[in-house]
Amino acid sequence: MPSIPMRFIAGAIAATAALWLTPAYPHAVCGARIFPATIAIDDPGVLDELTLPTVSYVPFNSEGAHEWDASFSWTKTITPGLSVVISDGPTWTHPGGYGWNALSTELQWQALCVPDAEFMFKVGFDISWAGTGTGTLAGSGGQNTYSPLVAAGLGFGTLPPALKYLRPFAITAEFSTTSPGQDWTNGNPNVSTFNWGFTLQYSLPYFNTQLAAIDNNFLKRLIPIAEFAFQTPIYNGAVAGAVTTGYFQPGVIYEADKWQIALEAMIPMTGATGHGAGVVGSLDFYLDDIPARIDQPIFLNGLGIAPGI
Amino acid sequence: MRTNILKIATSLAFVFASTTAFAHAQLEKAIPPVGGTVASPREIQLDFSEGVEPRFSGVTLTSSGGASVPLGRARVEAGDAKVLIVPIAKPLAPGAYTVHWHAVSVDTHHTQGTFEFTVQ
Repeated sequence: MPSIPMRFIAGAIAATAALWLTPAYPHAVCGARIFPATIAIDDPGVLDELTLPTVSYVPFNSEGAHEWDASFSWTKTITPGLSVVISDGPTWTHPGGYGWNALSTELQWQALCVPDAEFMFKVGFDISWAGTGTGTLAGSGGQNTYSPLVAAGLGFGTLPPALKYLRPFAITAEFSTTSPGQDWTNGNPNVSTFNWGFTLQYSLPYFNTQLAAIDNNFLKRLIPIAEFAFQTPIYNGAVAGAVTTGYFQPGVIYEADKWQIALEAMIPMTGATGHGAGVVGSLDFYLDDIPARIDQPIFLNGLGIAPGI
Repeated sequence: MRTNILKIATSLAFVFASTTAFAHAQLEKAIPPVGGTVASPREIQLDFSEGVEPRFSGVTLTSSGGASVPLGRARVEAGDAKVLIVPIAKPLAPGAYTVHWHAVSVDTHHTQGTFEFTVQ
């Protein structure tokens, strides 16, 4: 098993390489709408992006422990509509200890973008790999975990003139299931879950470029947002005593030209989630807008297999 | 150790597999300003976050009644491909106008948008 320092060194090398050559990238563009990267659920687009890091703290998690989490996520386009995502990160709990989560890889396909409707959605398939967790989380990755997903976003830009000040609103949603490779391990149940969530966001950048110019350079880059994310057991939940958990995460995103930063509160929505408001923040880099100009799909014109691929 | 090496190798492979840029041209500023009230302008100037291709970028202008306003050929400002300029053929009568713009950045990404301004 790799030691913790080696993991930090490995992560630092990989991160440094990524930042040195191509700082990072995360939003989704469809017509006049830019869907920013969001924390609790995935954005609806497939583009080169890097989230480094996302850091969260909850005072009392579902087991009553203080919990810190950190993670990174790197999306690399293979063709204009197809990408691979690599995610990982450590968790600290007190009482409990430290552990590195299982490495996760995901294939995503941009299935549709309708520019005039500001509507887009993607599908994906995520695998959390067995044996890649360490420390207190070493046992949680004893088998692969599989998660098919769909994520969609809709801007309100088509509202009639009488409602034009509602046009900066957008909603995004993500639905997935998480299923372990085995229903039972050594007599213990492994729970499958339905993961569902959505965001409601009001884009002042959209307001600034579509409705009325905003003179303040700070305000015109803000996106107030509310995220909701839940996990509902769908198999072995009753046996394991698992129930729905979830957070309401109100916050704000600051969107610069080449990066964004998000800060949100984490408010438990069920008693089983934990108690006390936490906080989460993330820093994202827009790899495709970085002057280094070395990031684009490996196969820029696709492979001719399907739309976007 | 093997897992870490695999992670590093995978990450580096993705980085080095990259080639050139992949950016969207987002509207930064417009003259006449978005939602603004102005005297009859002689041109529409759009400042983007990235350089644009004038041959594949353009603007249409319509009056509040839906009539199309004749415009000249789109061009970029000399020495600054981020600035798209479209001449307006004739003075505009007072009233509200709608600008529909579309842009193709120098690396072929499409963006579009719509805004209004008023001529006093």
